[in-house]
Amino acid sequence: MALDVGLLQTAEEVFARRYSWTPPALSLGKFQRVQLLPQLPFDVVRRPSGGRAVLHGDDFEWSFAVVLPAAALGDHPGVAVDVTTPYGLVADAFSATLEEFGVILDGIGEAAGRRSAFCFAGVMRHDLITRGEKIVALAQARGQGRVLVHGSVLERRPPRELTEAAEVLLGEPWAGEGLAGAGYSFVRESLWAGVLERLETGLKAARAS
Amino acid sequence: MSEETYPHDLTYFKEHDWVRVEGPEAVLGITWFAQDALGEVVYAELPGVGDRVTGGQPFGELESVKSVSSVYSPVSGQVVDTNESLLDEPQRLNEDCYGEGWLIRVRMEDVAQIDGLMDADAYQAFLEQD
Repeated sequence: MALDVGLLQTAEEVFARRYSWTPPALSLGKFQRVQLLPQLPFDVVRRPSGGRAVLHGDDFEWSFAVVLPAAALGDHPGVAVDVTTPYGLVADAFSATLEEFGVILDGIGEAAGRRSAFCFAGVMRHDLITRGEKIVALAQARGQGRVLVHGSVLERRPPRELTEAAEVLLGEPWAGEGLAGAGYSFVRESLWAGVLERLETGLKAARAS
Repeated sequence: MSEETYPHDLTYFKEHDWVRVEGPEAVLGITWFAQDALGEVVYAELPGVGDRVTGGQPFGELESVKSVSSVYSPVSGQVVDTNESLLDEPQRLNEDCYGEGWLIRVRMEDVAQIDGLMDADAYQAFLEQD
């Protein structure tokens, strides 16, 4: 996560990375307020992006980050505040790859606007949903001429020890079974390779428009 | 705010801020274009009174349902007031971005900094650039 922050501050070209978490951690949205408790079974970190809490752990989830310098999206005046195009680039790359893998998505942009203290219990516009399960969550941070779109792919429900501790911390029930809950399982590297390929195609199209 | 508008009594910065000059002080906010792009604002982090802001540099951040975005100051100076009502009612930024959605008031180090900003017509032309 610290590397994501560093990339947002310094990246001079498009950079995309996939990473996993060991030991597990709970990341909070930038302004999400939580009273921390002692002896949690996970580290607690704060994201540079908004949104709600995400449980991270190599056994059940993996994270990704895409940093886009402004020049990657064109030089028209709206680039400074255009939050939709960066989301679209990443969400489209994931959706096209997932669909090629046989996943039928419920529909990008069909947001119920459901909110929760837990990211995967809520639904926002650019999240990817299949069979009612949120499988890819996206969040964005912008500044210094760069855009960071990062997110999480939930593969399966986290271990009970983690979800129960997080529920006590956030005061809400855990919800989210991920890809497994929707009946899917993929090799991470294969999925990410497909996303990268489509992201590159999408960036070329964005620059040309 | 449902209707796109850019008041002519304000000046505008390329980072989509507006400025209302009141003597040696400048009141800052974000334009209709910016609040529309950001979406529903749910939190505003602003500097404190007495903090210094630097022209062209970010002075705060806005979290919307879509993003956390920096807000840039077009002028350098000292913050003399902040819109604390945004703590409880951040939606004012969307509903009344030129009025109750103002962000901070700055005592400018040099009023001449305003000379480099755009008037309403120039800002709208700026928005229409390809």
